[in-house]
Amino acid sequence: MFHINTDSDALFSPYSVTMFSAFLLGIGLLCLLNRRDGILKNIAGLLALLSPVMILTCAAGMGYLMSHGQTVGLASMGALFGMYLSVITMSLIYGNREAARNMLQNCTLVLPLMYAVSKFGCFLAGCCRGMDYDGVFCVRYTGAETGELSAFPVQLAESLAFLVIFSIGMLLRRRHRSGSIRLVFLLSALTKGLLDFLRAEHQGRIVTVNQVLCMVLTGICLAWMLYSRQRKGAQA
Amino acid sequence: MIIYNEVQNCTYENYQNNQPVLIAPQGYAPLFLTQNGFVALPDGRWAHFLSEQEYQYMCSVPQGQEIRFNTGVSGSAAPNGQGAPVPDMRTPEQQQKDRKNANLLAGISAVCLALSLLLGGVDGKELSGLIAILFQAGLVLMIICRVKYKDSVFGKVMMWIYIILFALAIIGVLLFIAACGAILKDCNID
Repeated sequence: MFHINTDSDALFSPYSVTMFSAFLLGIGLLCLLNRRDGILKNIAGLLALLSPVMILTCAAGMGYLMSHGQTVGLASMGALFGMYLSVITMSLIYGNREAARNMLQNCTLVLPLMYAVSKFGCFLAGCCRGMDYDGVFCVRYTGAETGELSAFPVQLAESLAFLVIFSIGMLLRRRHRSGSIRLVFLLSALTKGLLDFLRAEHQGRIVTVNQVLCMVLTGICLAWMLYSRQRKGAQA
Repeated sequence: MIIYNEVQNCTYENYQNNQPVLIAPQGYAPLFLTQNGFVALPDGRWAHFLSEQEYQYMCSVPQGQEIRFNTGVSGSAAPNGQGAPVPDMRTPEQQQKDRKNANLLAGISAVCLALSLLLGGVDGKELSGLIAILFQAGLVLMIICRVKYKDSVFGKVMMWIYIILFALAIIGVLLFIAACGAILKDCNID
């Protein structure tokens, strides 16, 4: 069993530290991968400037919408949308197709890492918590933030799962395997959708908004895989 | 040594019908080379076909000296003042038009940034969305200016303003979090 007291005595709250780290790691790695692929220094640098702004805006905006205007929080789907929006914007400005493809691929590889780190922050803060559970590996939260409760450590499960997905993506990239990006995208959408069943906010619902979005993303990915396969077959 | 944009150690060659080309050394990513004006040859090497002006410039550089090309919209003198300045290949009318466009983009970016900062000081949750849109619009316009008109001074200044704002925002957020933490610590002790 894990025990987490959400009344933190630390100077910097664990949530803010992990969020900041997620940004730093993610944007830093994206910059590095873009430079390795031959993208010009100024383009990679300007993308590093644009992406945090769009990620934060979209994450906060989606969090606000999903809470029906009640609270301002960061929604992971909004962050995903923001990241892709920043890369697409940069690609449209730059106008180089190959660079656009590389930037999109690299951001798909980097997103699981950012999500994994940020979910660890959620685990420490007690937000996005799992369903009520007091069995093996449960997490007991105390403190004014959450009150006293036992929950399934779904944030930790997501963090570990997405670290594995990130590792798979980087390994496949290193081996220049085709289809690695589609695989990472599909695994991420499926994992998030499935783990959502173990979340507290899923209780009493058939599907959540997050799961609907994950299903849409999975559908898009499968259609993309099918289209690529058909195009390869036609070319052969 | 011949440097073409960011590609170092190029070699000069007369390719096929005596076309003057610069051959890129091995080890550069293909995307990097295409972005720097090189094309793939049938034999697998990457080459830049020199224009008349580029060839004339190369011939004018004394033997033994470094030849540095810095093309693109800038056409400004080589970095660190090394080598002879590369002539700007745009006509004066084109240069004036580019300067005007760059100033317009950077100017609108500055206005958007100023408005977003001013509105940031006004009370009201309803304005948050507008502030975010204005800030991002300003940022995107600055990026367009920097990508399309690299030599625009106004664009460069706007870029540094945004970078400094980012740095200040990060420091500000960290200080705010630290201050909140310190205050809460004091409350707990009492």
